[in-house]
Amino acid sequence: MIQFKLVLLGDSSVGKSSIVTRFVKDQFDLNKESTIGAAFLSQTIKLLDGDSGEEVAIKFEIWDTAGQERYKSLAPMYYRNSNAAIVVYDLCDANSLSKAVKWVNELKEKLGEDNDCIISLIGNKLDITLEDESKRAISFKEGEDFAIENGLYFHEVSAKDNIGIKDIFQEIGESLYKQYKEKRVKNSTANGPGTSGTSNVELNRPSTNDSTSCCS
Amino acid sequence: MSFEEQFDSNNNNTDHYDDDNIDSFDMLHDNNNSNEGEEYKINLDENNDKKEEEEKVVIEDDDDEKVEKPEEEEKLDLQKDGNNITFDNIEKKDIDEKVYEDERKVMNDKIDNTSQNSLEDLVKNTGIDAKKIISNSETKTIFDFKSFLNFLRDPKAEPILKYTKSFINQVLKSDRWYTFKEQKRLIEDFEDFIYKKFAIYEPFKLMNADDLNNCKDSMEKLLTNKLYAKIFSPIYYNLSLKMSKMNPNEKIDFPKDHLKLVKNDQQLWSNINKFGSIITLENLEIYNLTEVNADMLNKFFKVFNRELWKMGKFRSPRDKLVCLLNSCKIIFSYLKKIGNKGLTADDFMPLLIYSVLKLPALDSENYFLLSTASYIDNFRQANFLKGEESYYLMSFQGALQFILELNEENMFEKFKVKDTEFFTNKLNERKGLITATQLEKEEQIKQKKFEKKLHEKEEEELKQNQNSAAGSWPLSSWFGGSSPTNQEDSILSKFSNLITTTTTTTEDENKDTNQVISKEKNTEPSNIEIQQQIENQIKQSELEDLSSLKDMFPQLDEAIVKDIYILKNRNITQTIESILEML
Repeated sequence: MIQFKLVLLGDSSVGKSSIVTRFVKDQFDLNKESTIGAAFLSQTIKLLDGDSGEEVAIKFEIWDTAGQERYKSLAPMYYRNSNAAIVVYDLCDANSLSKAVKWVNELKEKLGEDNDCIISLIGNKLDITLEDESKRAISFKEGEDFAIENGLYFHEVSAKDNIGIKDIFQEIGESLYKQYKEKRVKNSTANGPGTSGTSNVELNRPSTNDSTSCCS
Repeated sequence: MSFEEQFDSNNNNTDHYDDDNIDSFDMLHDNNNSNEGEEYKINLDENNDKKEEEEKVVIEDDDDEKVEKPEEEEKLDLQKDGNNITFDNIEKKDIDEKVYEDERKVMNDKIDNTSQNSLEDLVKNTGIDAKKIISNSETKTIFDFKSFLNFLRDPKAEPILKYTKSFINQVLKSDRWYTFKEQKRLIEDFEDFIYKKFAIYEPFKLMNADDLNNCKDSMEKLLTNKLYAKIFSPIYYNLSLKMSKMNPNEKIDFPKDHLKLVKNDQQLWSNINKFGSIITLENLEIYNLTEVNADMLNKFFKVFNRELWKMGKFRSPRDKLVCLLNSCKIIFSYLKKIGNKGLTADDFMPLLIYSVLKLPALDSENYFLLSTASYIDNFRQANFLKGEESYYLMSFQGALQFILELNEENMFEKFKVKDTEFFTNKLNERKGLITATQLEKEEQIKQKKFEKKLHEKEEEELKQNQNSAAGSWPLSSWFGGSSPTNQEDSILSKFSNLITTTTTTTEDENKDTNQVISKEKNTEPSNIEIQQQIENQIKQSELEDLSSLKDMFPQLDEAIVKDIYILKNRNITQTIESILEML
């Protein structure tokens, strides 16, 4: 199975974890692999391969990060080698978009120009604004403009009422799968036939292995 | 790695956490004395054409023994090889293993037909490894180091055994000071090499994927155990200190990456010592805690500490990682207990940092946390360190990094402090206390050094007498069959002499020392005594576990707690979890 590492970023009050909990719990195949706690979750989704028409399963390994400002310096350890990032803000908190923007900028800067990490900007707590539009602090356009400008996916969702949650992951999954297939074709033309499986290995190894990691 | 498996490492209550099984590797003897084509050559150069001569040292294991010998003499030969193991010991070990195998069969049969309640009796009646067997029988993928050693014993697997011994010997004998990076590469290269050989030689060749994985996992455990003194930074560093004491003229260029880990660990402990006692839950914005909860928290710490303490005792990255994951699991159990719904990184990380800060600073030499985390990160094979394991290892490293970077300039960014003046005063108080204790300690060390010297002298004399009488070579089991003259020149013989004669600083090494000494004196207890000892140890750990549980859940009836504990196969983490679910 193809695996992708996805990191969750956002301030502690924006409800980033509840997005994932909602996503993981709502799926038919509740993954039992998380044996320790909910900071790390994994979930498998199914996609349709456009070329072959076959169904493919891909697995997300979802890395939650501590959103408090004081742990910000630890974030690079988490997002290193990720295939995708979800940056969350709170539609009802005026400050939270600017914090999300900081995360996006940091990601882009630290991961470098030629990284292919897919970033999705998510405005959460849509349910509150639907109930009472006056509580909305950040307009749809504000979020969308920033997303378009920076080439990000963008959605407004509600983890509480399960609005738009699955789509976030479906979209990222499809995009990652496309990327994966392109890489595989590239690799097999570069190395000749029969080596196409090797790109899989790289994708399956999100963990750090070099002794230059932050702690050494 | 599944959590059911944790049992296997959790309940190894012997003093040497890994040594029991590892020892039997030393007893594996290559029957075929010709070495041709079965040495592994270590090589660190990127470019193979530029091999340096000194690095291609080939160990000629059995040079003196090209003559074929009748089978009955085989075992005795081990002694001549330099293995400091007597005939009696070998036989006993062999018997033990047979007992183990038989028990295993019996146990597995019985487990199918018995209710959980009678498992206790089974454990009582069998002693050795019984707990391990019970827990293993519940899991699908079993980590089984013993069966790996049995595979190595297969005559058809002899080339694998020889390559492995050759590799281990070369690394141990080499007098070069390897950097962490180099060691990682050496071991990875060898793993790649030997896994290719797995595909050629039986029984590995014919294995299914699960068994083969177990063998790869076990190979890692074997290599890291054997090379531990050279690859685990704090011990490697101590070795360098001793070497430079022995040869003051020889300059040792201790590898910088290892040194950095050792120094960072010292800094980490100095920070834990300084800040640990004054930090409150509020400083890390951990709320939801009433006083009752805080009281319970202290009890959870005990279990948390014990897991990290164990992590220091085990040698293989795999076993260390199991302990680390257990400690993370304990934090989540606690969060669940205090009714935290999310159980996310926002809740987990602060409590992890808090828990590490509350580790007992006096006991620092039992936890080389940064070195250990880096050791796991680097020597655990990549395909075994993924997903959840990787995440929690990284979170642990993150927590350590957070504490390592603490200082008086940034402390108010890192902690939430309302009354900064009060906090600063407390910190100064603490610093004063630390300085005072340090002075006292230094005085004590001076005194101890003096006593140690006296003691060393006595031991040295004793050892010399023994050596001349028995002609035995301590720790030479490392070398398979190399001749004593070769050893004299090697770094390892210096090392082995060192650890037999000096009282070492870490407990771990002390145990090695004791082990060697006890082997020399040839006072191994009988089979029955060993079994009794193990039973006692199991009982002892059971008592400890039960008393922690009692502390943690004072409201519960002791008998009930014990029942659950037994039902959960004496696994304390699982017991806590199921009690929490009940409450």
